[in-house]
Amino acid sequence: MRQLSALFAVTVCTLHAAAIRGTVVENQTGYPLARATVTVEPVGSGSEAHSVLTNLSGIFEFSALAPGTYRVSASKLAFAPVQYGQKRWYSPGMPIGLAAGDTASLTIRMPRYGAITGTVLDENDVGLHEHLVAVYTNTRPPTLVARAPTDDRGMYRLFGLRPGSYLIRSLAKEYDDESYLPTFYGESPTVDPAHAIDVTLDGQVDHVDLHPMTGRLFTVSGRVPGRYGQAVSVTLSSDSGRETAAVDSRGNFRFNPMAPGQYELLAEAPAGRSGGLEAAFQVLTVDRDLTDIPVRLGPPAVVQLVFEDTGGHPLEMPEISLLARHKDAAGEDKAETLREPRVTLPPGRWDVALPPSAAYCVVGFSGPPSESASQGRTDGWNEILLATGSQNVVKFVLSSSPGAISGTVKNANGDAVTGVPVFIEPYDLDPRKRTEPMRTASTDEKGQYNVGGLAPGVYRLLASFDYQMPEAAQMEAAEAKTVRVDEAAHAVLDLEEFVIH
Amino acid sequence: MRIWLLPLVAGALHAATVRGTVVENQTGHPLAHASVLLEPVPGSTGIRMTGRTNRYGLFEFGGTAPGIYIVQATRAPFLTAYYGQKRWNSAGMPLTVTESETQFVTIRMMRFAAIGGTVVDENDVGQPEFEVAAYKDTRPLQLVAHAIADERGVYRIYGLLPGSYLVRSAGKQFQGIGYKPTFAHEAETADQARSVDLEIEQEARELNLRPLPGRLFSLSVAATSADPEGMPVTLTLVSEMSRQVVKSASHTFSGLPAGEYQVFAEAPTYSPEAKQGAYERVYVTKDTQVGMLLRQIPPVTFQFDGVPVNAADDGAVKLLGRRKDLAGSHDTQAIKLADRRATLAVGPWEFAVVPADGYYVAGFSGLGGYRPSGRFDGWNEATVSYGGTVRFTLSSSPGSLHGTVSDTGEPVIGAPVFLEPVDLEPARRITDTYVTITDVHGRYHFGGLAPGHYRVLSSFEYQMPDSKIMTEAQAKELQIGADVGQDLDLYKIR
Repeated sequence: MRQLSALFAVTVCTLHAAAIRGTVVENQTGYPLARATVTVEPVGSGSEAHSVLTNLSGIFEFSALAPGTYRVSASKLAFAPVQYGQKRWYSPGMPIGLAAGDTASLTIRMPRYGAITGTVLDENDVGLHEHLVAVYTNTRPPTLVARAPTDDRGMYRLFGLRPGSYLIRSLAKEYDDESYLPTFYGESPTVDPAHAIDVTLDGQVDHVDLHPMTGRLFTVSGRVPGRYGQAVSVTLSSDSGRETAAVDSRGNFRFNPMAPGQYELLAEAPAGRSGGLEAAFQVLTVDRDLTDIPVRLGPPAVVQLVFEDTGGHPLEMPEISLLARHKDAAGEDKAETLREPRVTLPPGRWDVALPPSAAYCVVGFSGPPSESASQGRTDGWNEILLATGSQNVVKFVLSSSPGAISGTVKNANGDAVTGVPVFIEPYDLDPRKRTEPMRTASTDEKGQYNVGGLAPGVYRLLASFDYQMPEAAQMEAAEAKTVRVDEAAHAVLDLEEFVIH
Repeated sequence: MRIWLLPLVAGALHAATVRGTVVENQTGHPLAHASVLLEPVPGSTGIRMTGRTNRYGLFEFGGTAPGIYIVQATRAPFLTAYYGQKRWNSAGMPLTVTESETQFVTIRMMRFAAIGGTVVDENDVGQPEFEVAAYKDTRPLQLVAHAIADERGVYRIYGLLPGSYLVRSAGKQFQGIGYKPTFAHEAETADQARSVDLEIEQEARELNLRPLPGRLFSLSVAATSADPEGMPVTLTLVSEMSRQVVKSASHTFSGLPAGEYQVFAEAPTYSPEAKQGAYERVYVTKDTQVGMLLRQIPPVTFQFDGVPVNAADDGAVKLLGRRKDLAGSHDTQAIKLADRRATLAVGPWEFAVVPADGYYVAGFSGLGGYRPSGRFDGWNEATVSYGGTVRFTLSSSPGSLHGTVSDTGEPVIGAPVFLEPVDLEPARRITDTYVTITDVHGRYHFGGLAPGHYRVLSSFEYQMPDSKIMTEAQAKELQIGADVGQDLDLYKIR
């Protein structure tokens, strides 16, 4: 990875007013970037951040700044956001200290996100057009990131990718007399033998060519009765993404031929003139043609939210409201906030979570069970399965005695480190159940940190200026320390500042 | 008769075999799953046969009757190809198949052309997500295809036939700045724009665009479905640049340059046979609001004078229609009539009739709109609003044209013959020219012709010559009122 710190140049000169000015340029070409947003954020003063747009020449200026320390960041559509002074793309920026009369002159170079290109080829190395290609994170299970169709030459280009490791897969497609199965790069139907592609900022990986395997696809069709003229949507989700079928005037729908596998079907329609929504949810195993799937719409599910203490006594709904997100085989939707104890939700799989609080922690959970729900800790996302028209009780058990961790962060010389971010990862909580972002704390002037409101469990901690928000693999690589936290207990864990060399 | 891959065993005594391979023109790679059609020329023995290439690009028609055939291959996204064609737009040469013989043919399939470039800002930095459209460089411009620039500002518009094109970025509000529709490289009008001439399979690159800043406006549409109420509404905003469709009863279309727009609002009713809709023509010079009340659209009655009353219902008269808006004409559809009536979306339409043998279209009237004088055997404009009658008058005394095509005194078999109605303006023609091919004696025949001026040409050099080519080839000019005989010499490019 190219060191972003090398991309910056600073000149501090003394003038009559404190100011930060500079130029934002495209990293690869050095061309000025007009209308980039540059933000100056005072560090530790509690003052508000200020933003300006660069002019046509890519120049920005913040004049008449109060003496102090500032973080400077820049953003622009289609570019990766940059913090001034970052060592790497995932590192936090370095603050700029300004005395009265100082002027900092900065050049901020903005890189673009990564991209992967290639061609989907048939048996004779002729490009296949209008063939969907998907990119997944190289995790287990892989997470779908984006899809793109091939052009007339069979070429695809997947862009806007953060640095990381990815898997590429051509999706199912039926041509006149040949069908192609979903196939990973490396000519593999399954994840593990697939070849991963590493993507960097400003990097484009070319010639990731795919040779889809031929095989049988199946018809998936059915009917939503009694819905003439209404806007019915029928969506089929799988790990290849979501497909929506048109519903004709008789309520019939038919999807493009599907590869064998597990699918989730969600149908939704307005509930007449009274407003609201009617819906249906089904899990389908496609291993043959499914040509007459009856889809009966019904009212949404009702969810009663219940909160209890560890003694079984009812509690009021916490002021920090519940988070819920709809999920299906293609991934999770954006989380929404539930503010009332009784809500109606479309049927299907949902995740619910209570955000962390200093006053309590989640120690128990119950709800309509889902087959894919995992056991273990309950202080993250908890999966529930809601049936059409069902009445459900979702219960959180809250402890008013959460755990805490504190300690001191020192550098390699044994000196206490002030202001270093401390990242707290719930280590024995299934990564898929973790709520984002990871908990963080910051050390005080004595190098001490303290984080409370922790549910019982094992945590992994890392103190470092080198990350904005480390991923699990980065925590692993940095040999983050682990510690167990019990209910009402206070664990102590001293840390050494981690520095990437 | 459909033949599924190979091999087939010849069933008929003395039958012949036609086999061959279909390959990609540029690389020579075999093309699997291409459709292959074997079509006998008029008067030849043999039947139409279809097949498909296998994974090695091979096809075989066993049991083929001796005769004279045109061999055609199709596969997306390639141009349709013919055995023996000289160029991408040439007609195929007939293939003579004799008894007990095996013919092997190779068909090369060509790709369409493409235009690419980058949408850049003042500093030559790529601008993402701009829509770019390609137009045929004609007046008025004809929108052909469009694409969206990626995060680098790079666009590529493909599937283009050879010809002269202009490209234009769409109006867009982007990062607080309004950008007007701009032709490449930085031109406001088509006459100042840089055009690009495309050859077949050409990739024209570096056709960059720098959108010009300018004032943009919004158009807020609030539509109400009233008959019945509460039905889901689809709004379509049309400009000469594009069509935008939203499934909503109210929507604000933003980032619009000043100019003329059409708004279509459509919704279903409780009956599959009925629709409700509304149509407005709006000239945007400032931020504008439009309210639309959707009403149920009564069916349009089609009347065909001069033919038996039930001619339309029993299929003797074929009615064609296509919606027309600022972006151009929609695809042509065959309009099915029930009791001589059809329910159609509101707005401008064009109608044409393909009459039964022995008739031609001699008159058209109804539903207001454009009233061209002269010939009516092409597209005729009308505006569908709420009910009304469209009347076609058919005459039972059409003209016809026949003759023989020869080359150095010998009749030419399977030669395309093109007949262009020159006093029917090109935009109103159902097809650019009428086409037939000569039979096994070199003879051709066109029937059901409206009286008027025509030009006729026979040549293997073209599949569908335009007016310019007909002029260059010195096509024979004719006045057709009744049956006309005209022998032709085969035209060749030398």
